[in-house]
Amino acid sequence: MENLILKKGAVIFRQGSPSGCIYDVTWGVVGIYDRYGEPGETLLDEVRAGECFGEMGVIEGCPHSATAVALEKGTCVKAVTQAEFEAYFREKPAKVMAIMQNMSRRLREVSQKYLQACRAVAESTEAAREGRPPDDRLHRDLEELAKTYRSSGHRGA
Amino acid sequence: MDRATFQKGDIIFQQGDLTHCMYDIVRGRVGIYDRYGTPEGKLLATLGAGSCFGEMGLVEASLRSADAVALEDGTEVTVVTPETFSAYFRDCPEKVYGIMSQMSGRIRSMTKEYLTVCRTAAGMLEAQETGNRESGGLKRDIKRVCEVYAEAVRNGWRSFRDLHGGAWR
Repeated sequence: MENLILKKGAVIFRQGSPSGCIYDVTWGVVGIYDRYGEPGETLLDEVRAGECFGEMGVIEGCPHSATAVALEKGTCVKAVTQAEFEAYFREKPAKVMAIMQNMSRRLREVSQKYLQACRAVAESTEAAREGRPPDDRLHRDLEELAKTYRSSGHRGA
Repeated sequence: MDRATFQKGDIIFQQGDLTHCMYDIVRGRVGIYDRYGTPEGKLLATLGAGSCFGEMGLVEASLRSADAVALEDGTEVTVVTPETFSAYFRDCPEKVYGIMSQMSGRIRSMTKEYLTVCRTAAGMLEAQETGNRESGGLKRDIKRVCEVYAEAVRNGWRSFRDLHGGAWR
């Protein structure tokens, strides 16, 4: 199990990279970003000491869906691999519960994004069918969705 | 560990109940239904000993999205609450890891569905901008998205939370 001590601004993992570890923050703060370093950069979450991040990768083995960056000098994280996962968390039921709560929140968030995306497509289609030009807001919504698709590395079905 | 025993036909929980626990079947069988006891009622799944259900209710207090009914006399379940979670996790960590694996699988498939809609949006914009006709594939995707959205409007939030296996979770 690796113990990492990081400089401010150090990238722990990048969006889209293959994952192998879950990280347990023992000191400092880690920022989780969508499109880090790009025009559309968004801070999704700040993970503090006692909390974990990167759980998706180690449980299902999929690429990181965001970039993790140390926000403070001396930020310290423990990198727990899939092989070490069960042993590390065996005596930490509170952390396991916290991971599940995070996952539940993420499921709710992506469900909501999915619903809003379907709405934008459905409303645009209806506007076209009725011969109305799509309004600015709808057009912007579709553009955002198209941008998301292009920057996703095409992971759709 | 908290246990509860039910007889055949007993309702363990109903759609709309606010609860903060999950169930692990020790003995017997449980049926998960949409609208149990009504003419439109549908059996969604039958679960036996060793299976868990209602796990989303353990993670946070939530409204049940389906009905759970005991299918046999003497159906026995362990009730796991946030307070008894530590003991449960100590006893059967592999079950908890199984639940986590399922949850992350649902996040992944929902994300995939979301990206498919994003792809559809990109296709629509491209057709608009180039003036080209929408391809057959794009038309099919658009139709499917419109159907999904129409159903969500009819059923409310429930149909989205429950996509991909687990109206009872």
